[in-house]
Amino acid sequence: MEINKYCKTESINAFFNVLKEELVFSENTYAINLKNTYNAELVKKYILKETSCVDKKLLDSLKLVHLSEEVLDKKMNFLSSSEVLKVELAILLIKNVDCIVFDSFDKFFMEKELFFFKKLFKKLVKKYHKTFVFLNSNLAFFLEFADRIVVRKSKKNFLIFDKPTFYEEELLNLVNPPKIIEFVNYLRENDKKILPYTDLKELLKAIFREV
Amino acid sequence: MKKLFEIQDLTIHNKEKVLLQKVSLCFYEGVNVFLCGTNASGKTLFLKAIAGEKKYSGRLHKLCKVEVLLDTKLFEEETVMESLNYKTLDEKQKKIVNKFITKNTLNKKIKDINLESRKLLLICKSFLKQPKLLFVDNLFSYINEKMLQKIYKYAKSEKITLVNVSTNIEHSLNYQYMVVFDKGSIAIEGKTLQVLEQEKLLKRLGIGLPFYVDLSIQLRLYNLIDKVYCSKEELVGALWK
Repeated sequence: MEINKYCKTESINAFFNVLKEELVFSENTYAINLKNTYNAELVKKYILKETSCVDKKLLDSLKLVHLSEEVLDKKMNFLSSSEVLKVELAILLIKNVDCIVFDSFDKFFMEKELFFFKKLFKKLVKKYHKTFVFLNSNLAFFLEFADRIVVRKSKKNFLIFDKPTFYEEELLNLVNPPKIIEFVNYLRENDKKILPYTDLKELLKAIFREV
Repeated sequence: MKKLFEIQDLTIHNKEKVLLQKVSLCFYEGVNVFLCGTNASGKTLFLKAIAGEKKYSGRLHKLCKVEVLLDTKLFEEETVMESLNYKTLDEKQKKIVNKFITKNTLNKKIKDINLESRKLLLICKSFLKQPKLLFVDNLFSYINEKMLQKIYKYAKSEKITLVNVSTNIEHSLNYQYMVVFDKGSIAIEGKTLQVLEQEKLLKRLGIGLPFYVDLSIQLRLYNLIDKVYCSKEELVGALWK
């Protein structure tokens, strides 16, 4: 299978080339990777060129990705990288694609917006059966979010973790643990009775009980 | 402390609105700065003005060699060696390259190396220019922790002061000073821990806290500890004295 040629990177290609035999992806799969330069055309024109969409659907999609209507009158080359990513995502949502692939998604956003998008993606998965694939070296990004984690062990050897708890030894041997996992494991190594939490509030309560 | 760069009232606007409003900052030798901010707050625009890629008003007073490494930099060359002009480098420069780029990577084409290696190549090229002040736009977020520590160590040994524009708040603890941008101006600046302790303001801006700082602040509210800790060893030591 080949990803539709929207825009793609080699890392995305490598991922798909190796995994196409093991995981099944829809033919309607698109990858988002930002171009290095955008022309000085209006966002409205850019979206129209890609989707021919001018109606309420366009405004709904912008709202969905946390962009205001005002963005339509801005020029593409004046947008910040996070705004460009949101525009590209809005286009794919208008196109109603089945599967979207992101490269280093978390590098574009601070905590609050990352939280917003995780919630949005979960909703789109649940309600509209969409699939989102994230290529990322930061395991913390996937905490309480990913249904499946695929780790590249060597060039052609991938390990698949379904419904990961994030405390799997095999997984943590391959990837740096998120800070909360690192801390809980450190406490457990030091004979503290702390369960394998992935939520800060739960961990706080447990520490309060233990100290 | 030796002043390296002074920015006074840096302002950028387009036809409709002000994008960066009267930003004033000073950078000093050995004081590495972590710069973060809300989305579209003007972080990259700020760097582009310093790099001379955007028109601005205000005063930029450079007192040393300043380099700006933007994330949009493209490779014109085909191979890693060509990109570095490796054959023309002297022994000292080759040593710098070898610190960060493996021999295996050196012999590869740029299209065949991964994203992290590409970012590392850009950083390495900046180091070869021997700047005293290096601004980096979100490139460190792609680099693994071990290599990042190597970069910090090298910068320190060569007296290169780093200004890291980043979305990875965990990295802030490696920097002495922190600046937070919001809507085209500075929302807060100061010593990193002091800024991070402004938890309410940062959270209102949508900026999280490094895990151990966040945990410490919450545990302080429970009166279990009395200060903020930045590592697991310190925090566990304080909790179970």
